[in-house]
Amino acid sequence: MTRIRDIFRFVIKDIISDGWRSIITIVNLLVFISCFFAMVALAEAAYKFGNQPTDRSALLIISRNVFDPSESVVKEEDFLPAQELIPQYVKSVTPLIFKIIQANGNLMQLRAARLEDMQTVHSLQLISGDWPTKKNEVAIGEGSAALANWKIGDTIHIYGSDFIISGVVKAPGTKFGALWMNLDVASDLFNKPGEYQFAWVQLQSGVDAEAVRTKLQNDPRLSSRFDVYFADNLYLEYTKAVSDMKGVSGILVILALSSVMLGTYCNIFLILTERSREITILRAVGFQSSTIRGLITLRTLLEVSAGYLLSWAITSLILHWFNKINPITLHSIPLPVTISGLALLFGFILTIIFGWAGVWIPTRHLRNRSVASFIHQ
Amino acid sequence: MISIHQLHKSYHRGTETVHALRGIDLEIEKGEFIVILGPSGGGKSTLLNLIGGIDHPTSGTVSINGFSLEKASEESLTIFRRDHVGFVFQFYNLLSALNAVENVTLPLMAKGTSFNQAKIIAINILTKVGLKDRLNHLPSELSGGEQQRVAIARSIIAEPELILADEPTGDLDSYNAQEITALMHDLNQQMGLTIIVATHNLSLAEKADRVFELRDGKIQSTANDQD
Repeated sequence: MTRIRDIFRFVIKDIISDGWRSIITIVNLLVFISCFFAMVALAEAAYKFGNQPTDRSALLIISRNVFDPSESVVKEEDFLPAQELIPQYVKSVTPLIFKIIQANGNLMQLRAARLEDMQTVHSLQLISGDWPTKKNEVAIGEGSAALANWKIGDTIHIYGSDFIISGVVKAPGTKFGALWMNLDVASDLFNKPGEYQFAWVQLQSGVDAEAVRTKLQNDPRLSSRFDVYFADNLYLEYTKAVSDMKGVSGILVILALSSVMLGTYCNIFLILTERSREITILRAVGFQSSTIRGLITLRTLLEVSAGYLLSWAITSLILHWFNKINPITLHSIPLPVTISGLALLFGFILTIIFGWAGVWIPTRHLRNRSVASFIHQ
Repeated sequence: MISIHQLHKSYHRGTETVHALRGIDLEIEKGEFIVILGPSGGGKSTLLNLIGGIDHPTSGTVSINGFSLEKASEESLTIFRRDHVGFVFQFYNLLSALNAVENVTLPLMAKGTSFNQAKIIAINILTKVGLKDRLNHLPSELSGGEQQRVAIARSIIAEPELILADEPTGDLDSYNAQEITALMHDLNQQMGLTIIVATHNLSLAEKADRVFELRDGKIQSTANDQD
């Protein structure tokens, strides 16, 4: 214990006395590690977005081959195959209007459902205010409230009409960031009566959801023109490319962290050259090469750790600021870019491994190098 | 104690091969104070490096208390130096980040002694060499003579049997050179240490039991305290 304390004392003293070199090393590492944090945060956000929990209690019928779900067209007669499964497999089939709109300059999801379906079918919970019962009222999801900084009583301009926010609702999954409107009001607003974007099929509890989905998908009345998805799973299809970013980012993340190895390698190479005098003295007075390697490794790992923690703090602050002033939204769903605890831990382990490798490579011959070779250097 | 036979050392400088030592034969007894004189480039430092296990000979043997240095691995040589040899260099070679006490503790810490224990011994030795008031000073805050005293304190703290000093007064003024000479002589007389000094300083030679002159890699002449 005393020995460990002595070693730490020696190394910290050395880091402080060699202050400029230590600062330059940490700043150098900070750049690479900050890139890692930024990429890992983006990759995680993309992955989370593309991997929303699938709601297996409901199915969506949506037009085939539309990139934007708001371009889907589902009519009353298309509900029939699902309605025929009531009551054995299906509890209800309800329409949902879905649009991506500009509301006071913010790109948002607008979802319109019957007032009675908002709680029972779409699992909305009123957090504050009232349900949008009047023709000029909308409710907003808590994600929208946070994103646009809206509050109850504010007026939102949608599709040429003004609406007042009557309440804030909590909603699961990708509905998190939506505006909610009464179905009839939305039909009037968009002037397309009887035309919806989704048929929302609420399943009976205990049924084989996949079997029902397959049955509907294979129904000749739907199979040629429509797709049937589990609720929220729709985004998995639409955003596959986005979640695939995780794979690409994973490679970039490894590259960013391997730069730590390169950075430490260069640093140690310089130390071995510039400080051969100190190494010679330590070897001459009887320090084993393994001890000297240990001291260099500890010094480097302390610098790497300092660089890592500083990068984490700085990147977190920047991401927090970025999320506040210019939040990323995809399909009008807010995409909070944050660094998870797992990423922090994973990155730290990788950084330490790469840092250690960056020391090991240039010092691996130290064991067999004579003291005279340092003197001649 | 030290037995050297037909010791050769050559190395390459560019395309040229330099023969630093050309067949040295030498026997040194325990407790002797040996001075090696000679011009620069004569092979004095090379000989000290080979006796201290800092370098490997091209051919020949160096044996200290029966331990053959020429065949030993780097790790064994490190342990040998740690346990048996203390070094004093011309330019002191103190670590600039450490103060006087910390520099002196290094050989004991290399042996595994805790810093707190080593510190007590280091303070005692630094007091003996006249640096009681300079314990916590960095090398940059000490004069040349004081730095060399710190280096001497470092060389004896682990109680070696052999001290190798390469031009210990070479960078000092005459007053400090005299002080260091006296200190080394005292160490030899009081502690019975075997001391080998490579120097140009003739006052050191006056204190020696034996003096060798090394020129062109060969011992040219020998004198003892009776001469």
